[in-house]
Amino acid sequence: MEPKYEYQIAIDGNVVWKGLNPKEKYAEIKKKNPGKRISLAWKSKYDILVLVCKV
Amino acid sequence: MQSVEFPYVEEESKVFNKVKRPKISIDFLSKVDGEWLTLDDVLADTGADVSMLPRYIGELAVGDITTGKYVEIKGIEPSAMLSAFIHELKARIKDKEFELPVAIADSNDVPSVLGRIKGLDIFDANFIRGDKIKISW
Repeated sequence: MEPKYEYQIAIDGNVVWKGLNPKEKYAEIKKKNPGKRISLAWKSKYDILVLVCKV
Repeated sequence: MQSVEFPYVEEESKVFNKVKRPKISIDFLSKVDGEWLTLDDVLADTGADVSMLPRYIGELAVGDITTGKYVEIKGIEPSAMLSAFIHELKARIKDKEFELPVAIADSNDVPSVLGRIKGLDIFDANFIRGDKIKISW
């Protein structure tokens, strides 16, 4: 079954990578782009999100 | 008082066509390399007791997530329980730095969430007509 999420990596707000494991790619992109804003995001493919969490 | 605004992020939905969600950007100081890790699309969720991160982002922030305090997190589904580990992270929204307890999930199928405890609770958070969120301090 296809996962219902993906990670994204962006450089200065532009998404340059999508996938399921961002760890190596994030380090690589960060190293190659000093001074730029490198950001990570978790994106949902669910139609509706209802989140409540109790600890 | 300082503030920052984030426009809601519009996402596709088969049911509603489009759904707009209150998502913000937060930086976390990584305990792995001592550098700021920038996260976009962090859901500002007043229904969440605690802030949460999915596993791989958590590993970039702290390394071994299992060194944190083990917790079980309950959501809407009565029988579903999410295993997570609580870590104290230094967080930053714009130039406001603060210590934030974060539950790092033992799962990647979990969104990044800014919850209430020491998170939304330390700010004035104004959700404005499904259009933007204004965070003030």
